Amino acid sequence: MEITGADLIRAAALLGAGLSMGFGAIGPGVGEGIVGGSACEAIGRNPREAGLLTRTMLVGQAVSESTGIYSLVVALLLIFVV
Amino acid sequence: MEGIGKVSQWVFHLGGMRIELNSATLLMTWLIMGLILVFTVLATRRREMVPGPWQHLSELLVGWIKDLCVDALGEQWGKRYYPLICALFIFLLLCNWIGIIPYMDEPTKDLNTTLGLGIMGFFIAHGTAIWVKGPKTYITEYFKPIFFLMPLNVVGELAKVVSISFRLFGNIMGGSIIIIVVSYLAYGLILPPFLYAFFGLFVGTIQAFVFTVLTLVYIAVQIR
Amino acid sequence: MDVTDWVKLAAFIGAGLSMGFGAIGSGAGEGIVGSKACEGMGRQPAVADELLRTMLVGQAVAESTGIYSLVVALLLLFRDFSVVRVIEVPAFLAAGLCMGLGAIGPGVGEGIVGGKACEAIARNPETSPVIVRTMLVGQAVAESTGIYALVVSLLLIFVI
Repeated sequence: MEITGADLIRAAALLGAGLSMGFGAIGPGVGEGIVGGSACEAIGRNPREAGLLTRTMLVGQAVSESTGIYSLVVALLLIFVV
Repeated sequence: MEGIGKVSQWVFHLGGMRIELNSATLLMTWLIMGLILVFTVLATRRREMVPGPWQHLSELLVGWIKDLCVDALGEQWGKRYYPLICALFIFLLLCNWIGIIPYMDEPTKDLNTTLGLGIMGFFIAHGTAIWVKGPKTYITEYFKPIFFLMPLNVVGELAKVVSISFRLFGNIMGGSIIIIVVSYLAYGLILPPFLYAFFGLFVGTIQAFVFTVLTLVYIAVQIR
Repeated sequence: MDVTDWVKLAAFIGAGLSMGFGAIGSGAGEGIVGSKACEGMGRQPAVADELLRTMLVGQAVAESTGIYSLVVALLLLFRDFSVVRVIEVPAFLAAGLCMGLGAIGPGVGEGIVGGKACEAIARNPETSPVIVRTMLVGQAVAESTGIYALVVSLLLIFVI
């Protein structure tokens, strides 16, 4: 069995894809959790603003998720393009 | 274990183009549309002041979703959009529940279904935004707060479609894979039914609700 | 060692990494939900039933990324190793790492949401339907990066 340079590069790309998505998911997961938790707390304190708070929560979570989306894009690029 | 990752397809050629149709997804989607039609006929056939069971169920469901819509979109837009949101919720609920019947597949296990629904929500939300605000205000909002954040705003809007459809797909797909794997390992009658109840009924209901509410809130964010 | 042995080695290490790392987040998150529910019950024993229900639903949702780690681990463990290729060695290792590490963040995050929801219900029990609704939506959004990790892992296992 012969392992060439191209095989090694492919192997590195696959490992990189896994690491990219794996580490990239940690931050957004915790961050979105903090946003959602604070929204629940605020609704408990001031239920009349529930609609506004839910919208703000989703916008904040969408922004903090963007790094997770970048990780996904990089992982897919590493799997399919490299 | 062989069933994982396999998609049953009808392939045919039309003037040099290769057309692939995912047969299980298509059949199940049509079956669910038929079920919804039957439910609608049952619910509206004999409308009375004292409702029968079907009418009662549908009134509960529609009233609850109408309250949600009016809550999120306001009186005028809520009344205009609640039939759409209601139809989306009932469709997704039946899609996620149908997997608990043996030999039936969830159409939401196929990324094409969820991505299609996500793109539909995207176009509805942005179409509403252009309708309400006018094209000029709609475009200038992408250049807020600073003009060079425009690419990030666009990526954020596209990411919503990806996240909403991948979430539904991943949850249903993960549930169906673990049911296949555990049934292969246990050969038993005790564990798989519990897993069906958890993934089919509990997770399916929550994910159908979350998809509906997120579509609703994406419209609401664009209107306000 | 021939190719089959190497692929088996990678698959088993990947399964261990996936389930091992993946259990961290869900465990910590469910612990947060449970502790906040206990705190709320101590403060407001009258709403203990409501809190218990919310706690169980919140924990069940916070567990989902742990279950995805289990899915990936089982898929790697019970694979058919009769036909193997060299490229599967890095792919399986990466699949395990991806799902394992990717489950940490969403698990903790969903736990925070569930915990704060229990706290809010203990403070203001009348609004519990709205809070449970917000909790489920918030948890579902916090889970999305975990779902991306699952999708990438499944791609690495089946498509490569």
